[in-house]
Amino acid sequence: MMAEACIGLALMALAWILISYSLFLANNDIRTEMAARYAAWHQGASGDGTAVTASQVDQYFFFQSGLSTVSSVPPALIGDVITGNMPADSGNYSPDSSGGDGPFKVKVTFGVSDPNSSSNPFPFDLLKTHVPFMPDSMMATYSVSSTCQWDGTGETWRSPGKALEGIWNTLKDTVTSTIKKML
Amino acid sequence: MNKIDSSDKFKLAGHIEGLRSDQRGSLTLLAGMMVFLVTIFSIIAFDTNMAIYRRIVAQNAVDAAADSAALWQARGCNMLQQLNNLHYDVDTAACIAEGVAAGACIASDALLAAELAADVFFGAGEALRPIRIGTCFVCDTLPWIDYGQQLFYKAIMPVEQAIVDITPFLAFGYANACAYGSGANNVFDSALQTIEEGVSLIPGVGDLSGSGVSSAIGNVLGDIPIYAMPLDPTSLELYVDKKDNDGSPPLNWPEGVGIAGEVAGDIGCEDAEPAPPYPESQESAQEAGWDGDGTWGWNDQYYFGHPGYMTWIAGVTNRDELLHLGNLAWLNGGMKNSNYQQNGEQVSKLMWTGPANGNSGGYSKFQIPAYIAIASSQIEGTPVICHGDVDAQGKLIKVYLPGKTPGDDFLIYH
Repeated sequence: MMAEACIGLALMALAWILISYSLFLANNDIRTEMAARYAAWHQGASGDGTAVTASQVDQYFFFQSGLSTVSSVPPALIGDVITGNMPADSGNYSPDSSGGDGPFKVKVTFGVSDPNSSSNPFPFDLLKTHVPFMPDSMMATYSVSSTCQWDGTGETWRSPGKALEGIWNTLKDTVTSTIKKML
Repeated sequence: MNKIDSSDKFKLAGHIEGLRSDQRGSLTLLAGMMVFLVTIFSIIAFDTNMAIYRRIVAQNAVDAAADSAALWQARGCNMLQQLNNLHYDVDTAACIAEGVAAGACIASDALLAAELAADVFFGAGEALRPIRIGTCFVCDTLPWIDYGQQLFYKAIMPVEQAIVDITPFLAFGYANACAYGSGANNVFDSALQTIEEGVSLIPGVGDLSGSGVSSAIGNVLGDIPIYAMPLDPTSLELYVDKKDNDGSPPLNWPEGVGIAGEVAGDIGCEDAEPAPPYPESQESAQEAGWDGDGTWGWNDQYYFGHPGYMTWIAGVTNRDELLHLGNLAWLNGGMKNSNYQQNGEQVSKLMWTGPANGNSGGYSKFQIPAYIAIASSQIEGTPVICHGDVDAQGKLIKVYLPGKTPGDDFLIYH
């Protein structure tokens, strides 16, 4: 009697761990999408391409701090739309070359990189729990991410100098992206 | 032949009695059922999360597209306003310079008269001559100023027209880039699937997803790389036109000023070196390749106007739900019997006995639905006028749909 009770409770405990962790990530996946929109919009509206920080994103969108990262990724340009090839998310991309003209594409990631780290908060630490009679609790996904792209709405070319610079950047980006995709 | 003796009967009865009272394993069974139910509800929660996520992606994409389009319209209007302001400033400078030159021409007449009078009465006319010659130098700039103004006008107007023509394409292109970068799928695919899903909810209509018409439309339109589009394509235009000005200087510089200067210069500077402004300077200007309109003064047109609001649409296509469980027939058992759909409750549902998955039975499998989203934007700031502030900027606004007739449109500029 006691053995069956233990197996039943262990099964329920394992299911609870896996399901609560999975729903936690699924829920935060939605938050990353909202955070990515905010980060991309903020960068576009800043006028000079200033990116939001991870702490700002933590404050506005996530209940747990220190688990999110914000990074700029190459935006889709007109050439990419025509060819249907989304630029790969390069880790070293810097949007500074275009000033505040945009567009800006931001990737927000929430989660941990090392599931075995002793400093992982709940519910990531649950994955290290080994329930008796049950298999390992480790799962394959430890972070979720979303991207969003926004144009440089803060830079409307109000001065002749900015307009000329913006036209040059636009021509350069459009021609470059189109040629790259066609080659 | 084996016989069951009385002791065996007692043993069998004891076993049966033991099975009745044995509750071992019941908790495991209960736990398994609970885990199964919790898993099912968790999958529903996952799919709900996914549906919410996809809905947010669609809305973010269309918002980004609408905001981007408004931005490019604002940039176009700001460039036009800057060129209008430059045009106005050049006209103002030309107005002042031509007025000064014409005044010098007229002054040369007065100086000539003074020179002649001084020569007659005092014999000192030569003393005033250098002043008159200096005045004639200024007078001689008159046609150059007029030609310069006309040359500038001819140069700046095509540039402004190019901005008017190109801006809608840039707005459309970058709106699509932002929608694409934000995760939108082909807008035609998204819209068709959304319509199909909506129609399939209407009793008696059934599922259109496999129909030949919608498939053909989807195949054609799905190849066009458009991820966001305005409901009214003409709303991409800047709606600025060349218009006559209000007639006041420097917009309209009267021809009489140049004529007066020309006539006065012909008299006052006739014997002067350099030559009087007309016709020698005109010839010089033409030799230099300056193609004027042959008349004095100007009445330039400027670009006036502002774009209206835009309403954009973008979306995401449907996709399979978690683990593709919606493909399993046991989740759609009742839908397999076509008689059930046709006759409602009069026909009993039959258990599906075909393959456990796949769509061979023509039923509607469960999916994360396609979503389309809508957003409106417009520019705010001073409309494009002959001389004004360069302060146009794009803004997302409450969604406005084009009215049934042009008069019903909700134009809410400013």
